[in-house]
Amino acid sequence: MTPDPIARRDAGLRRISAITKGAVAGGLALTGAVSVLAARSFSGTSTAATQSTTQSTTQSTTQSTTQSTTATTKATTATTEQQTLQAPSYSVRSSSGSGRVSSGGS
Amino acid sequence: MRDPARHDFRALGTGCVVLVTDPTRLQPAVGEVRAELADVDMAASRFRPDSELELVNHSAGTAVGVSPLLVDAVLVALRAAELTDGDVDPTVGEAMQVLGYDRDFGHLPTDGEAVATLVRVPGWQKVEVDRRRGTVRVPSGVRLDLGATAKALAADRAATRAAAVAGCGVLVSLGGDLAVAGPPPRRGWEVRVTDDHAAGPDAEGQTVLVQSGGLATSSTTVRRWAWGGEELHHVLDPRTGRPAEVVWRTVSVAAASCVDANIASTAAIIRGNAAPAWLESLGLPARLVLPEGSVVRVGGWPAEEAA
Repeated sequence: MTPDPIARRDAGLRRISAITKGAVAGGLALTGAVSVLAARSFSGTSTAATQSTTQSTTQSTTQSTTQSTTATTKATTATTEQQTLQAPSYSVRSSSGSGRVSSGGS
Repeated sequence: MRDPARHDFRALGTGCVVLVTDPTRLQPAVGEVRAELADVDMAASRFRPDSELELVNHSAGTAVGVSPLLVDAVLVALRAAELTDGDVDPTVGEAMQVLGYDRDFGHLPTDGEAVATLVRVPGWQKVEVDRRRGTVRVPSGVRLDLGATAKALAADRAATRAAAVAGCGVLVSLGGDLAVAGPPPRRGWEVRVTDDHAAGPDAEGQTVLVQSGGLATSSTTVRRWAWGGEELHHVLDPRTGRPAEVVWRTVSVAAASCVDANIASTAAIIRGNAAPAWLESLGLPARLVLPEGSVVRVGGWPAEEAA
């Protein structure tokens, strides 16, 4: 017996709808997976991003506090995580002057 | 460029100096430094009964919730111990106490009873820090003394914080351990390296130019006290629980931060004859002074310039 053409058409439309939904879901999942992989491969600079967002949306006093807190936190975190004692990034030079401040025992 | 402006005051039991490259920004910079030092004092002082550190010391065996600042200060101290194979150990607190250094140095009595027993330093590995939960735990019988590194950490943090707010170059010196941040003066910060940070600018020593990071000096010639007729100094050797044998009277080190400079200069005093080779291997510029005054330079520390 030949199926009713209308029923055949409806069945076809349901198959197309299911395929479309599957393709959309698969595409979204694939996009998410690629995004996670990319984020892990190319780490970002969330501190700077947060800082710049804060800078653009706050008044100057709050801005200064945020800047100083962020800078201090970053500096301290770096200090606690370095695996060796770090040499200075410049060559210490001598001077014939008397100095504006003293470094000595206390 | 104008000459740096300067402000002096006392904090953390020692002399504090703030220099800024822009004199109009001195007050905001000083305000930030004072605020940071107050925070560090409240968190890490061994001489304040209400400090977080004393709460930890009196809660031995229990994980105590503390501020992120104290967590960082303890982590910095433990890093110092790890990188120096225990030469700079924060668990010397009990030994310091037994040797009579149990209050702010300016309030120490002139003498005390002889030290009858030596205190074995328990070792930094016994300290537990949980950064995520913000807790610190010390075992029974352990007292933390963060003095060796907390002052340097305070200088680093204060300089960074002040430069961010003032928007100019800042130097912060805490008892002669100094940190700089922001753009330096054209030639660099002129620093006199000498035995005693409180000595004048013409004291015996050498002037060097600092561009960034930190410079610290450890000396056995200052912060000395008599106890039981014996003269003691404050740099303890954790292996003996006693003041380190004096091979060098003063060691100055430049590093990428005041904390690293302080760790290296303190460890060098304790390491004695092994210190020059160790500092050289790390590429740290250092100036070591023997008791009779002759100087050993390593790691690219410059020779003195004729005045």
